Amino acid sequence: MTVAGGLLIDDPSPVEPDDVVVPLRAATPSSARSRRSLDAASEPVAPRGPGGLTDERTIAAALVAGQRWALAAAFERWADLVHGVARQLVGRDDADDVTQQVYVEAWRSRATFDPERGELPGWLVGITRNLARAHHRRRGPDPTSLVVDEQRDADPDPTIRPERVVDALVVAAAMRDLADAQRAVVELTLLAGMSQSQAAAELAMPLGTVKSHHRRALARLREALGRSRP
Amino acid sequence: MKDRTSPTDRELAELAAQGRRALQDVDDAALERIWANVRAEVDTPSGAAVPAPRRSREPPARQRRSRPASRVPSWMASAVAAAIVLVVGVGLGLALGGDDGPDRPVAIASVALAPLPGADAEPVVAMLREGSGTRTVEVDLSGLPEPDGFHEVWLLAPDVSALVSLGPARPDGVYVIPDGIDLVDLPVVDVSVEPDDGDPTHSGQSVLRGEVTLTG
Repeated sequence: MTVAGGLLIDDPSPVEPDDVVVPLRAATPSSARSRRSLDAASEPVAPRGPGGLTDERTIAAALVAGQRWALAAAFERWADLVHGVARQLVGRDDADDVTQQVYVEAWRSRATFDPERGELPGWLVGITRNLARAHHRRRGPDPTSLVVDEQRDADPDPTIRPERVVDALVVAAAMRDLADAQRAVVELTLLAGMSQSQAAAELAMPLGTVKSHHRRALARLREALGRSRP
Repeated sequence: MKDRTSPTDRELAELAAQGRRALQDVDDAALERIWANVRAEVDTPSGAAVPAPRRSREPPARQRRSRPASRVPSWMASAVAAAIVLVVGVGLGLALGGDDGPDRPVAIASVALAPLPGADAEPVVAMLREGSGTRTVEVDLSGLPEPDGFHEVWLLAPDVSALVSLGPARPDGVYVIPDGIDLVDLPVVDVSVEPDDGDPTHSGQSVLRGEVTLTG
């Protein structure tokens, strides 16, 4: 199935604005230059597959299939998320051990991951929570509650409570995993405090497209957050 | 069980900003150690190695960059200039040790090729190698079902606006990347089914695709 000689990305899911169908031409070496309209507007971003999700789906499928490189890829992508969450749930001293256990467990239970029901980072956070609970059960309540209470009494600031920081890590990691265009939009609308109109001007993107990216991106962030909460 | 209401846009923004800082707070050296331990626990007795993640700062990578400039191929020099980190051969469990003369092909990166939705294909891993100034993509396509026509290997731009053919499927699985091709621009490895009609353009029927992930 092709469209006017274009390369149709044969994906049954709804077409995102960034799934562009472009005319093909065989490029000679001297003309092999890609144009990335986002480059001018933002700092250089890592090139991604169409839709941006390709990477997570690729890693997920390969992990379930038992391809060992996928565990390395999952570590490269999300070990900082796992470690950050572990640090909030079991403390700095034990975060390294728990992170290690999470990835070993992820490999051993890889066949239980269902790509239809969620994404890898959320699954890894779930494993982290389980292992943190097991860690606390082993250690007994007293040392950990001491840590938690001290933290609460010393810093009444609710923004640094463990569950809040876990939420923040999950949202930031999910933002990092967004498709290029969606990420570029919310970096401006969420992080830089721009209005959608300002973002549209900054990115030289139609306002309607910006609104669509913003809406979808926030939906994905909320979904990631919802799935990772206990 | 969600006992908290869904966050507002503003709350999401605060979480994102805070989370971004928290993610940066992670100790890379600790992650390297952790990964080494994971690998030790997970590797099979037969020694099939789990590749090291890209994040790892293995010493051979530093050795590589400190070689005299004349030994660094121009495409890699430009890649380094763009602050691109590639998986080094040692990290992949290949080319271990100090045997790497400048002329022996070294694995530069691995690319996981995933089947496109609806394509009848299993995922395969392609290797990027460089040796004696020649870069190759190496991928074993013998596991693909017999096509109506032939398979062809391509490098694509991420937005598919440009592409170059590496040629039809070869029994030895080695595809030379022409000089002058910058993998920054064409980082996607694509395998298509091409009809035997003499038309050199891409058929649009891709069966496998994967991208060298470059971190900027």
